[in-house]
Amino acid sequence: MDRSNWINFIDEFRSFGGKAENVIQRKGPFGLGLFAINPQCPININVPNHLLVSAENIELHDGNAVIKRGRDYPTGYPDWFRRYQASYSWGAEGETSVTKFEKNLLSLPESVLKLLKKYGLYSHDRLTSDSDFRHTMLQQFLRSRCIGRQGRLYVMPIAELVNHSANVRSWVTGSDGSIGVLGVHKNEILVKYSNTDSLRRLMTYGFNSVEPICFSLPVRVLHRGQEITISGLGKRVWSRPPLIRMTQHGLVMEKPLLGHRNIPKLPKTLFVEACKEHCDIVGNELFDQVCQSNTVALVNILQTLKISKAPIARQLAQGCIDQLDSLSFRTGQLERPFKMP
Amino acid sequence: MESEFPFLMGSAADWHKFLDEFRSFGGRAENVMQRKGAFGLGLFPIDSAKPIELRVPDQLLVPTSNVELQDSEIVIKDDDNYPDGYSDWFRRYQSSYSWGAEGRQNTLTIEEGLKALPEEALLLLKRSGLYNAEKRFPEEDTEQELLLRFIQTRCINRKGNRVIMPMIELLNHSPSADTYDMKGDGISVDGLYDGEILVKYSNSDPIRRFINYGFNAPERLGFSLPLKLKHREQNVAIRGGNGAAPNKPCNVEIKNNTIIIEQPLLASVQSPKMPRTLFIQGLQNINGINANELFDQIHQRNSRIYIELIRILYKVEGDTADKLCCACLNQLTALSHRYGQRDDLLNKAANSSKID
Repeated sequence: MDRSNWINFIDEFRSFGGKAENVIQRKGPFGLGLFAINPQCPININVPNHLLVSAENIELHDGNAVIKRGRDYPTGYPDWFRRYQASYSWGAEGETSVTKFEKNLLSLPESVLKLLKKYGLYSHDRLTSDSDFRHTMLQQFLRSRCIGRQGRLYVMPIAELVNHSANVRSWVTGSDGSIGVLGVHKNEILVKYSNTDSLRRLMTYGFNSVEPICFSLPVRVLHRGQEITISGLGKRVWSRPPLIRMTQHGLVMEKPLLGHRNIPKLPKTLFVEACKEHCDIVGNELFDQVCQSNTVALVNILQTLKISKAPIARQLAQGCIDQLDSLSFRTGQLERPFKMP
Repeated sequence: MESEFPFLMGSAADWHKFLDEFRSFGGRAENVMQRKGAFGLGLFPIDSAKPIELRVPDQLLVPTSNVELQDSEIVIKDDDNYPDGYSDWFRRYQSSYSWGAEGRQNTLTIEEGLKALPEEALLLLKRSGLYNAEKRFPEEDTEQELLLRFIQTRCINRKGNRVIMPMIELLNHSPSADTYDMKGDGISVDGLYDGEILVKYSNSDPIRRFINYGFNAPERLGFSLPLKLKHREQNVAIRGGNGAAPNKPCNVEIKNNTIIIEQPLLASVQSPKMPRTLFIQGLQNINGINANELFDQIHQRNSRIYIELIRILYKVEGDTADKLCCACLNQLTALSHRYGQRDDLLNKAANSSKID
């Protein structure tokens, strides 16, 4: 990374209203990341709302990630964004790493791929043709670099270069819609991207991380004669009881929290709370059943992965083991309703 | 002479002669042959349309304390109480069909494999009370140690004695099979079998089946490891292992300010509501305990130990590491079979405790 180029780039970013103080991009233990230039001083990264770019508004043009419609952005910003993506993000190692991960996944034995599809973790059906491949990779890359707002995904230039740790604070969001990172960072600047579990972190972002929470995989459970579908897809607020809705196929519960390393009494509490209005469901029992189905699914994937010695199989196995570990953090129930700290 | 049974160890004539001798001492071995199957050497029906019958009368059972190694053969030490010729038959039986067939070699392979596991796996196995290489296979008297291990996998408790049951000990194990019939004189197995004749050796869980017997089986129960934990400011000690009566509430006592829980059943594939029910019943008279929560805590501590073992073993290449990893995965699956509780039994127990 050329330091003067970086400084010029940051100067341009400031001219559009962004902040990137005391930060530089370099290689660290998690690949390219951001570090404090002076670790004794606080850093300040801030992407104002008007510089966030909707993922739907990004396309590939001659292999570069560019803004499709740039009229709502400051003059020169779309050009800066194209150069930024080419030099520091998609073009730096983004495309290479996301493509490598995808190709490694595709090389897994068919039996593993089938299980990953069954449990909603990965489907290679999305790769319909070679021409779509690069576009699909861009979409996958953007999913790992975006923040969700009102159901839409937004790329946060500069801020998205920060790597993830499950044990640090999340993004600082301003009342004006801006997003960023603040504070003194003696080592690499890290943020918690989102609240997700180890397996979904791996499948969406391409790296292993011991996440403190565990959500259910999509499973079906026969509970006292009634088939209940547990949806494992979508995003949800981990600290709220999971929604249960009646569909033409029966009851569907949305992605319940099953394990929490820091609050192990919470998962069952929320689950039982959600079941209270359904007199035909015994919340405690269904919770155990869902946990059982998840354990069996994860063990099944681990047993199947044993046939492959490829590094991706090891990586996926580690994700499953981390998931099993987080799933084990479910002991008892809270005696009072949970309030977010 | 060509063997009547292509997979039979030795000739068919030898086998039949052996069985005739066994019958002459009072044993029964009808419509059975030994051959290689999915689990190594095992017994199969000669004609699967007809029932098999195996029976070792009490007088032919050999206490484990009454066998020793002589010139690498297992022999009866004191044969005063056995029919004439039985001790010679037993020596030849062990040599041709049991210890000498593949028993010794299998035992050696298991012990060497376990001992060669990575140091961190061995340490975790030792800390969790599952396996201690220094105690189990110190290799100070290798043949004697192998004999003891082999006998452990081949004997059964009968009227307060650990005894070897010739012929019947050749049967392989299946968790879903019936167990031995021990009601009458001796031990027997009979009935119709399509394929290999299998029996359930004992109640166990996947990890202990592997550590004690050296093979993996999808056992239908899950027991706890020995643990010490804090529950709501109280000290709790769990005595791990296979409970002798898994369908009864676990015994609980308080000693030196510690609640000691004896071999709780943690999971059951067939009756997944029973483990928590029995646990709550066992603890109903202990104050300051939330039995539901404690049950979950014990599960969590158990699971994390197996997860740690899996984490270590997944990185290691080798047959024993693979098998142990499989046993840990099977154990996690077995442990997951615990959902809900039997409110009818708990209400009944609560009511009878009020009446008392």
